[in-house]
Amino acid sequence: MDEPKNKKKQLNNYVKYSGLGFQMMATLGIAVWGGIKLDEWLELKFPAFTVALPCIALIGSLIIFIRSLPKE
Amino acid sequence: MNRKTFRKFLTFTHVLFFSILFSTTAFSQEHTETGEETEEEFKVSEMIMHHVGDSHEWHFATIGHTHITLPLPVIIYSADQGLEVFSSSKFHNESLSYGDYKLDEHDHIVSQSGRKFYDLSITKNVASLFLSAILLVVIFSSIAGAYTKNRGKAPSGIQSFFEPLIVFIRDDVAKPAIAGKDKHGRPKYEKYMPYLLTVFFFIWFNNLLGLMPGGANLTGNIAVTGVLALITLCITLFSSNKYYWQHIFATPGVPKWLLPIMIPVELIGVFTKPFSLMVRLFANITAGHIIILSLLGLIFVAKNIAVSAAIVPFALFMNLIELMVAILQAYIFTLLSAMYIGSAVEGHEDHDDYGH
Repeated sequence: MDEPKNKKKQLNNYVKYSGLGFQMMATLGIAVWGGIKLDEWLELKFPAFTVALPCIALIGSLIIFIRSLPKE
Repeated sequence: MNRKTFRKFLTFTHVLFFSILFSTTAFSQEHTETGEETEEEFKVSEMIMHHVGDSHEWHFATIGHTHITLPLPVIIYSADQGLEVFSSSKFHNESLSYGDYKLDEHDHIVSQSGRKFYDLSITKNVASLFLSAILLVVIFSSIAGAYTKNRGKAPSGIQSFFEPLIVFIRDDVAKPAIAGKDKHGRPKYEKYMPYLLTVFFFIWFNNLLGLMPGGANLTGNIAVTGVLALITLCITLFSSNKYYWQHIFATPGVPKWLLPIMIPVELIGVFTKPFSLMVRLFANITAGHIIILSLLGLIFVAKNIAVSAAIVPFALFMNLIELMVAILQAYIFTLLSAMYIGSAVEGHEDHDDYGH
């Protein structure tokens, strides 16, 4: 692969990963919001879902992120 | 791209560059004059929010105590009154009210008696949208005409400025992101070129129009970016094939016991991808406007014209960065849209090789 092609790939990759931050933020936000709502609805004493859902979302989005990395 | 085209491109960029540079200087000077003449207290945050927000009138400049504004039509539909159309200049009075309607502090129309109505007014952003739509249609129909006229020949006129950009979107954005061929043997990216080109030039033009003095902050309006992201989401979902859904419900290479975690996260991911498009464009453009306005606002906070010696060059510098951000954000939106569409139409045989 020649030099300019490679540079363009890098720029495209940079743009691709810049989107992941926002995506993780939104995923975690939805998980926290869902957890709080679920805890309110179930009237739990200990906010179990507020703790558990963001953890699951974090693990999941990390797996997605690692899978999207180049295999090398 | 040959040498002549490139030189034309350079000239055009320079003209664009300097016209915007001069207009910014004019803009900051205007404000300096106002600051000296009026002694009333100056609220920076109010000024900034007024500039980045939508409005029922188009405010261009304030010279002394005269405001140069263009009143825009107010269109209201309510079940009891039907359609009401009047000029927003009717609100120009002490109480900011006209009949039952009143402008609140955020420039929204509210009913004084608490009636329900729909505000379909042509606001500053809507007017700016119309303007940019006309601009895009005029420019691109002339380019399309030039392609039929100059078939097989070198591009001419405005065509030579836009051709490198159009070719760039095709060769460096659409082709690598949307791989493979459809069942008729045509490359898959071709079907999505009209959307990608439209979204690129729409965002870029509106970013630039927003940087003009007195311009509306259209791409810094979350509703506008939200609709653009929604269109991308719809195209992605409607053109998705079974491999796309297989990736979500049975991600290859992920152990079975992880699927209960992965499926919800992947499903949320379908919506967070366009959501990130919406927030990125909105945040970048609005932040840029706020930075420039805050810098200019500093002159009035310091109440000292000498400060402008440092601030005006810095505001100019920021404005030039904004010019770059304008095209960069258009490019990023287009590229990510192409990638999301690409992931939805990807076939089994043209499986993505992770960039290798």
